[in-house]
Amino acid sequence: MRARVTAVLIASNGADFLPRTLAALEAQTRQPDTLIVVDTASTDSSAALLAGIRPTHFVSATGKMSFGTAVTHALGVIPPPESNDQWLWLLAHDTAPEPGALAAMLATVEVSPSVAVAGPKQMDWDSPGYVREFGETITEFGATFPLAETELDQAQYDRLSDILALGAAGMLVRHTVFNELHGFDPALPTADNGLDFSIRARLAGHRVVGVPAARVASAGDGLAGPGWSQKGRARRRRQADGRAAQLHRRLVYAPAFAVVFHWLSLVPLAVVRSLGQLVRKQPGAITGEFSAAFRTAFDSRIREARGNLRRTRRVGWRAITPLRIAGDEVRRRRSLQREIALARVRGEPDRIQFIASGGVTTTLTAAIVGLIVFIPLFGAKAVTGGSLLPLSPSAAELWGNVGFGWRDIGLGFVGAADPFAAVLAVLGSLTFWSPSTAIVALYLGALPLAALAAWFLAARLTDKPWLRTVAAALWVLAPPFLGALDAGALGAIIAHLVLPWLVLAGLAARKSWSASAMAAILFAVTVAAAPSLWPALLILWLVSSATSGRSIARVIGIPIPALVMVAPLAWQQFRAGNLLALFADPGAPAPRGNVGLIDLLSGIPAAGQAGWASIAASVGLEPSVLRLVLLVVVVPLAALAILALFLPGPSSTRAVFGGVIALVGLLTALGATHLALTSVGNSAVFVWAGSGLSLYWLGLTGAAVIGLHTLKRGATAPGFVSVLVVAVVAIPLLAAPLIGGWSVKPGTGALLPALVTAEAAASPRVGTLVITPQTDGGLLARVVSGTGATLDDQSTQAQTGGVTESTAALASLVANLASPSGSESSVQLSGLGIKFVLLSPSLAGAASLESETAGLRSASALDGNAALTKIGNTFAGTLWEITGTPGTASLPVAQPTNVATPAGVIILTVQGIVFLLMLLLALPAGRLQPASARVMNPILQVSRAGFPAGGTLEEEPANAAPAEDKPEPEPEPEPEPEPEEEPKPEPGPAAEVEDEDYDPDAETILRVPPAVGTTETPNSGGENRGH
Amino acid sequence: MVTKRGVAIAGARVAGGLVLVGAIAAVIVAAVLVPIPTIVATAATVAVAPAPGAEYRVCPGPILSNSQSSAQPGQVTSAVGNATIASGLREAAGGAPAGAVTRKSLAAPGNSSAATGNSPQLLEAGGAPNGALLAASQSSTAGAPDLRGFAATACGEATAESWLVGGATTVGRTSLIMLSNPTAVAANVRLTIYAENGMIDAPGASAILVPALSQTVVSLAGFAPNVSSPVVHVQAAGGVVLASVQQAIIRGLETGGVELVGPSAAPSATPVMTGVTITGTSAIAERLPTDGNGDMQAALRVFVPGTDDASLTVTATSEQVGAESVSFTITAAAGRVSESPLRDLPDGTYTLSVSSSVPVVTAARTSVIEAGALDFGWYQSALAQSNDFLAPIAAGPNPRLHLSNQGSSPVTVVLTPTSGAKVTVQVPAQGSVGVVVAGATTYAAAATGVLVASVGYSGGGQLSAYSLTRPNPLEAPIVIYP
Repeated sequence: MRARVTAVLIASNGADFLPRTLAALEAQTRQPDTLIVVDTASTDSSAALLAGIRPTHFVSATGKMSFGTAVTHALGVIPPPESNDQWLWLLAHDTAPEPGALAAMLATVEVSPSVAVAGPKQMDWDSPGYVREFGETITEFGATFPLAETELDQAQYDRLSDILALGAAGMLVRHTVFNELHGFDPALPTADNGLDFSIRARLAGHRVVGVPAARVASAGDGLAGPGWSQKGRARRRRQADGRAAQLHRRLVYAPAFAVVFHWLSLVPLAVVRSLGQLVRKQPGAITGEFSAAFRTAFDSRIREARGNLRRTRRVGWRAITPLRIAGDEVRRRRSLQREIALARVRGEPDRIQFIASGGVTTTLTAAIVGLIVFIPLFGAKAVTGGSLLPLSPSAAELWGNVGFGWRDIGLGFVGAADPFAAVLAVLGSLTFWSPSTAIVALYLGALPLAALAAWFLAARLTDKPWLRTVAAALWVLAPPFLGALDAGALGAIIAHLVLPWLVLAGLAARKSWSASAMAAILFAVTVAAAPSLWPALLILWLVSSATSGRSIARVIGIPIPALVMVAPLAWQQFRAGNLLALFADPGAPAPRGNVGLIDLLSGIPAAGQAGWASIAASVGLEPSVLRLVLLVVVVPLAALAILALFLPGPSSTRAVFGGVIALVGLLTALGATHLALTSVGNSAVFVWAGSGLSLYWLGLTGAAVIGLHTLKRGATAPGFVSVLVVAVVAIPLLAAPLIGGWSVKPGTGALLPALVTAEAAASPRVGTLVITPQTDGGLLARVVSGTGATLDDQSTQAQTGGVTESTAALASLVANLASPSGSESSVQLSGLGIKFVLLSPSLAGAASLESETAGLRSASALDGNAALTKIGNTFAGTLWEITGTPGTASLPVAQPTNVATPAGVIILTVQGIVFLLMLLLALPAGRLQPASARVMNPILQVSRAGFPAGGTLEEEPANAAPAEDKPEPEPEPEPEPEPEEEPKPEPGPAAEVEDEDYDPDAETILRVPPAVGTTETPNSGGENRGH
Repeated sequence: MVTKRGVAIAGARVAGGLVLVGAIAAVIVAAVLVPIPTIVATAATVAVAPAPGAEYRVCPGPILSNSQSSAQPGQVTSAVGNATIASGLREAAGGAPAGAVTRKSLAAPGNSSAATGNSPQLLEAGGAPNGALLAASQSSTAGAPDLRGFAATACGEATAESWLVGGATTVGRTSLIMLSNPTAVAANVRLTIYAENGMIDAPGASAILVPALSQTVVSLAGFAPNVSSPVVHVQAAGGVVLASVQQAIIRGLETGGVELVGPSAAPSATPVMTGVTITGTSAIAERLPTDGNGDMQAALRVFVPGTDDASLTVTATSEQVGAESVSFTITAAAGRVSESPLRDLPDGTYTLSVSSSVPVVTAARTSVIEAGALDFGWYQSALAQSNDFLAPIAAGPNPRLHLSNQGSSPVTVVLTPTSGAKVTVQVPAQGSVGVVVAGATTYAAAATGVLVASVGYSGGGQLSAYSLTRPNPLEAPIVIYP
């Protein structure tokens, strides 16, 4: 009996595709006997087009419905099948069969009565030479696995016949079987609809075959199947739907006893898979994971679907086992894909060439200079002086000082730690056997690290090796950097080393989740080390966010880790009404002379004019004249930077960005010189201006490098001069560690006399009261525990807080101790846990008649106190021991620890989770990272190679604007056509310059696999389809 | 070919550059022109007034006899006669001194008589409230063949630094430095001795240990033999000490008297000595030419610390109503001790007011010959008392309280003795008054202004005096940066 074919064509806003589909239908060599068209509430001209072909039945649905539901709907208008020879041909508006498609499928099914489902080979809509989809199967775990990738049809699938499942589009189904199986599962609207149906058909004892001779062009519009759109939102949605479909099938196919376990595992699995998605740089998929899990968990249609399966199943699951794809085959196919992706990506030449273009040489030179300059640091266990103190003696203590808990500074209090404590903990853990050594190592490695960072940033701005070296030299010799090294401003040193990487990661963040997460971590490190950079970096972040267009998702989150780190401290400072104190530099406060505008313009952060003040004084040069002379350091740089703003070139946008960085940096430094948040005794401590100046210097150097790059010819002299003046100005500070005048002291890190240190070995919490006379005749009183204050114990909250009850009580005790007095203060001090009293000399240069008087008065009173035994003069001052009291004095134990309070645990947990997620996202995923669909899509690769500059490219926004489909891995080359790539560049010098413009982000032409002939590819502008 | 697009890009570039350069220039100009407020967080400070310690006074003890000239602190001395102490404690403002004072003997290892209770005394007003006044003085008479005379001195507070102006170590002159440490901590005392030729190099004097709660006596001659006008700068570390010098004179076989000299006021440009009693000038004038009698002449001893020579104007104001004051000018070399004789002053009691170009330490010495007995006295410069003070009068011959008003308005002072009637005295501006007081008692003085006060004894060939020292000021409040 001749087969009767009922074609069912479903359309949903498909006017773009329908004409071709309808024409293809009419061109069939074997016309269907009945044609039912369903219009699912289209708002375009679909209905009219459908009506135009005069179908047998025209069903107009009132609302949106899925493909499967629409088919079931359509079948309601015809009588039920009378024989097994009645077939349904399921088509969507974007399914254009080739003329012989139906005939070929019928030829197959007519000779095989056991076949219930047959499907065509789905070809690309625009490039009919490519297979898009041909058959599906499932892995051992039930995940969908397509049998064919998008690849050139070289008849490689033409021997395929019996397969597990088929896509819904173009499927030919025996009508009786379709009704018997109750059609498509309504819980699977797009994803896995055909797969599930085919599996049920198989389990009902029928065969499913692919018919390679039948070819259907399919646009993947997302009606009959999941669609192929590469738009981010559609892709994410498809991922979620696919996952939901898989979970749905899992619950439907599972044996009854396993359903509960599968149900319980839904959400935990979503959590685990979300972490995996982070590692795979797919944070956008996380929402989908959870929505799929919850959708499935509360899906009422599972019971119905299970019942349906139970009723129709005639053979066991074992029957389809041979049709599943084996695990090792899955792995083999995936590794093959990765190889292909890597092979394509490797077509991109290495633009950086760290070794070949002088990166190694530059870094090594800086390392040698650094080792020579810091010779006094060799063998030192710690560095002290300036803002430096040793770190706690063990990594465990370092980590104990992170978060919220007891702050062991002075008499101590319970509060939030500075975010810098976390930076110190990480730094100190690098040399966990002796954390203080990490700071020595940081000093020894500071110059090469700075050179390395600047070199890599410059490599992004210029391809000229010598310019990269110039940038590295300018960054290493930057006055704010050397000033910070001289002053022991550890936070500013770290900020200077991190800033280039932050900019580098920030620039790449728009295109890569990995870079975005890296930028977020570096942002947190920078503002933890130099809180004065908060406003500047937030401004730059805002500018960046505002100009990032569709990739804003990757930029907007950059400050999150930093905010999470600072939040507890900010809350406490807000409660104390002292929010401004958040800008206070972490570490030990050290008063330094403030500087004026001219110094700031020269990049000099602290008094002393970068070591020139003493030299100038010896030759009788006025300080005001010296200031103007030192301004020379910045003149060549500024001139080049300004030049870069006006010279034509694709990098002028970057030069403007550099200028903006310099401006906000200068403003930050200017603000810092007007802000004194902490004090040491009666000396105000201004915020360290060097951090802002590092930013200023970064902007200037970047813009100057762009200017030099653009100058091309004649750039050598200005480049050389700019480095030369900076180098000459740097000489005194570079020489200071060797010839003296350095405020940082290498040594063992001992801050207290040996007797105290020895006592601390036995009782680590022994307290020492350190009294330092001040220039106004007052006394600075500090309580330190054990071997002395450590850098990680420091707390800006303590430094900026006012007088508390306990400090007032301490002050009263100290005053009575420092005066012949009737008060038994020594007994009370002993009660607080203080065993030693150290009268420390005033800082050099901070002595006055008043401070001497106060010192004598204190010494005389301490001498005359019978409860004190004078130990003698030590390097740290005069030491007394409180002996007149019973027992061993010991400060209270540092409780609570950072995990002892609920608040502390919550804070540590939240911060830990945020950083863990950021690290997962930042880590290079390597083999785990999925190859981008674009890299893997040979059609796009071919069209790109063959037709680089179609007319449409001119419509692209200017250089930095990323192309349409965002989420893709970092190594993928991004087509960023410059406006200059117009077919007819301007003649004259401008054009010449533009020709040589360097932009590592510029379009990279990929090598096309040899199997693919470019001639076969039509000019489709495939990547612009999303417009 | 210049396209519109190219022009637009170039224009945008130039405009962007100009805006940015303009912004930077504007920031620089604004930073120069606009005063930016500087926010300086105030340092956390606490100003603390130290709790006052308990009031105490130290009396240096009896006159000591020491025939050997030894600088060894362990030397054996013995007391010559007892020291009698007059002390007063006034716990509440107004009224007579009525409180109870407890006495404690200081150890005097060098004094063989100390065991008998004849030793330096520590007077304490235990439990007295803040603002209580405590004062004491002592007197003693020596009647040994080689040591004869009357010596009275104020019991003072121990200090870390004091100046002793008095003593001599020429032939027949014995000077013992008595260092009394009332604290619970050993004091390490450094004596810097100056004389007419400048500072005397005395290695052993730089570290004299005075154990806690004890007195150490050293002979000045051991450090500075044969100087006629020493001035000793006493500096104590650890504990603090009350330094006194006991000077005795014997001329040939004739005793020349004995005197206990307390510390003079710290270097000042305007030191004042009151109650300087000049008596028997004619008898002294007769004996002056004899060798070794030069120190019978009333004199002003001046030491100029520092490096600038001093030019001093000394004004001697008599207590006698209507007497003209006498002024003379002297110069004193820096770093040296000079003695200026007080010639041409008729018998009487004077106040010597010095006005110096640089701070100096001073004291005056006078002698008496009466009824064949010789004695001498030292008058220390003193700071003016506050309006309320105690005047302890140790027992002695004809005690007089001398009050000098350096101010420009008269001061009325009411003296209330421990027992007896109140006395009201008017002290004229720039004038001095000597009040006859009873011995062995303490007067509470309530004045309407500040006065310099001393107590003088003169009679029967006995002469002594002590100035009333102002109690050590309470420790100044101190600013603590906790």
